[in-house]
Amino acid sequence: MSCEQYRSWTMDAAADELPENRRTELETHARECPACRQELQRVRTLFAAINLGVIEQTAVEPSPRLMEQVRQRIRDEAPVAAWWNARWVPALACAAVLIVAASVWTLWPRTATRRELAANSAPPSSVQAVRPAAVRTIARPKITPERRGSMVALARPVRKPNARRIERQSRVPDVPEVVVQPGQMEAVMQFAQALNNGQIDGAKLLADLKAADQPLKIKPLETPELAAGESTGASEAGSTNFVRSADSR
Amino acid sequence: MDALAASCTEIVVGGDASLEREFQERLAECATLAFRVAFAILRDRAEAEDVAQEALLRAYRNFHRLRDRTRFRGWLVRIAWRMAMDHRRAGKRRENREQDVARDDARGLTHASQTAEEIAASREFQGRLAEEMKMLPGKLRIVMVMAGIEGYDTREVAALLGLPEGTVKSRLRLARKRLAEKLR
Repeated sequence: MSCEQYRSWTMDAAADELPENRRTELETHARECPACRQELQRVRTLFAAINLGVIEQTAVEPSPRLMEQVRQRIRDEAPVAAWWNARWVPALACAAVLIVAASVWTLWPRTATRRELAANSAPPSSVQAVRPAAVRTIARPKITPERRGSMVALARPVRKPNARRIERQSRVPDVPEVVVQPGQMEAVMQFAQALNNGQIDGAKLLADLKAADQPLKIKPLETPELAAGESTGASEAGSTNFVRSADSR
Repeated sequence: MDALAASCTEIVVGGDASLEREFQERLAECATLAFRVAFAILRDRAEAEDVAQEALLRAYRNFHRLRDRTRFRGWLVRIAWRMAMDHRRAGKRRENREQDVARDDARGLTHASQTAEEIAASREFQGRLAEEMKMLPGKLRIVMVMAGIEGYDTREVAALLGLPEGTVKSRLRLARKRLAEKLR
C-alpha cells in the first residue's frame, strides 16, 4: 500500500473514525515511515489545537456590568410586565366580554326573522307559497357585504318573551269572548242585536238559565181516591201503587 | 424603591417568592453561559453582552412557563443561541469586519514543530477557526460550541441540548473532522 493511501487515513484516525484493523496498520506503517509519522502527528496536533481553540474561544467572561444591567432592566420593566402578567387580567377580560355580550343580547331590539317578515308583508296564497322555493332554486341572489349585514340582522333569533310581555298578553279583554260554532255566526249576531235593542231581557234570561241549572223536583202524581165498590183488579193495583208511592214518600 | 421593585418582580415571575429566588440564583449561575453562547457566534464582546442580556430577560419573562426547572440551562442556551443567530443575520457590518480579519490570515497554520497549545494560541489560527466554525451547519456548530463551554463533557452537552449522548459524540467527531480538513 502506498504512503498516499496511508495519509488519506490520518484524518479518520485522528477523528477516531478509523476501523481498528486499519488504525493498527497505519500505526505500524507510521513507525517505519517518517513522512507518514510526521503527517499523522501533524493531524493529531491539529485536532488537539481545534479542541483547545474552541475552548479558548468559548472561555470568555462577561463584564461585571452584565449582571447589574440585567437586574436593572428587570427592575425597570417589572411594573409594566406585572400588570400584563397578573393572573387576574385574563379573568377580568373574560368577565368584561361576557357582560358586554349579555347586555347586547338583552337590550338589542327584537328583530323579526325573514320568515316572519315575509308572512307579515302579504297574506299567504297558493302562488306565494310556491314562489320562494322556485326563486331559491333558480335565481340565487348574489350576496354582497352590505346585503350580508342585513341578512345577519334578519337571521338574528327573536328575543325570548320576558315575564312582563307574557303578563301583558294574558290580560283579560273588556269585551267578553264567545265561542261560535261553525255556521251559527249569523244567529249569534241576531241574538246579540236583540239583546242590545232590549227585545230580549238579558237579566230574566240569565235568571231562567240559573233556574234551569237547578235540579228538577219530581212531584207525586195526585189522583182522587176511588170508591171501594168500583175497585177492580186493575184499580186495586193502581191504588196499591199510590199507597206504595205515598209510603215511600 | 428597591422594595417596590422587588414586589413587582415577584408578580412578574408569577407572584411566587420562591420562584423569584430560584430565578435570581439561576441568573447568577447562568449569565456567563448565555454570554459564552452568544460570543461563540458573534465574536464581539459588546454585542454578545447585549444578546446575553436580552436572552436573560426573555428567560426571566417566561420562567414561570418552564415546567421542568432542571432544564433551565439547556433552555437558556437555546434562547441565547437563537437570539445570537438572529443578531448575526441582522448585522452586516460585523460580517464585513470579520471577513477583513480572515483575509489577512494565511494558510499553512500548523507546523510539525509546533505544539497544539502554540497553534491554538496563535491569532491567525483563532481567526481561521472562528471563520470555519461559522461555516459549520447549525447542528454541528452548537454541539462544538457547547462541548467547548462544557470542556468536552459529552454527557453534559447531551443533557443541555436534549440529545442522546451517541448523537452528540458522532456530531462532535464530524464537526472536528470538517474543521481539520479546512485548517490542515
